[in-house]
Amino acid sequence: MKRTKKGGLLLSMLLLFGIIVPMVGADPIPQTHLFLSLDTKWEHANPGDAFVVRADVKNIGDNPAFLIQARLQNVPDDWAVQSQSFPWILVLEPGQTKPLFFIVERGQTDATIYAEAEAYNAPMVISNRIPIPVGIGVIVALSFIGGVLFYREATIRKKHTK
Amino acid sequence: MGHTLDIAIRASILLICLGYIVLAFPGYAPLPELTAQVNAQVLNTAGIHTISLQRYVVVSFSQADRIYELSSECSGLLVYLMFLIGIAVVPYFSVSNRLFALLFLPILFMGNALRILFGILIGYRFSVDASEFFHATFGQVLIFFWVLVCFILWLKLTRNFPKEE
Repeated sequence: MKRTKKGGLLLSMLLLFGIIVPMVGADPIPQTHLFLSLDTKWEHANPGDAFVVRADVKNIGDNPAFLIQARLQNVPDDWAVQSQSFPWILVLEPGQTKPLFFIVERGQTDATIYAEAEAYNAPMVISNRIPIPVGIGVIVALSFIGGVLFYREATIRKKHTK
Repeated sequence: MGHTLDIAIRASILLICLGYIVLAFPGYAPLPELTAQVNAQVLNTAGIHTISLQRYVVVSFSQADRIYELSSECSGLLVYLMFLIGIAVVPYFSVSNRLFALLFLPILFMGNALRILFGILIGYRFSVDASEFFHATFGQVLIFFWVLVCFILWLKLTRNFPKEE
């Protein structure tokens, strides 16, 4: 197998973080945190459609992140996922964003996929966002109540001044 | 003169609201960013590691970091607009009373930030599903209740609250 420069770097980093650092007994790598967002390109409404998933990983902590890997989750069995040949980000400086790509061929089953990313020195982050929305029904109902109250108040005040 | 000034202030408030709705669309900066920052500060003070990034709040849960996304409406946009439009539309308030109402904007902001904070804390203590349930139900009622409380408080403080005949 041909040894690439990136492969060599990965191997030496794995050696450092997996063997040398634990053997020394101290963890000199400070913790950081990641942010993950997913984006898809190409239509994928029908079975057999292939599309590209781009996972953007951002280092939102104060220290560099090492050995970052992202995985797609909630992928049905009849879907095929092909990640890029080198599915790692070796180093991510604070504030820096780098993408990882996946080619997905969808099957019969419908699914909403999401991703997880983690680094050697960063906890796992899940791309699924927890929305904090306001329901449209609530807005309509309360606008109506508010409107009635304001109208009533305005009418009373007009009457008082006459 | 006083009446003209009152009309000018009311029209200005309404125009500012309208202008903000149109010009700040769709991000409505800096409301979501400010709300996210305040929440991150409070959660960090409470010992829960949190980072705010634009309109996102990244909270370190025990298993993984979870990302909360603040929508524009949920950053208090509707709350402030409801309050301000109410203040501007209702006639026969004095100019000073209308200007006094502007002091309630930070109170509304903090109320909304607290609501989001409660939701995140529920997610942290219990589960993400519980957090979403809180936002979809109690949280929405709470924030509009907070607007009403602020409005009534403003009426009381300015001695404009309707009295029994």
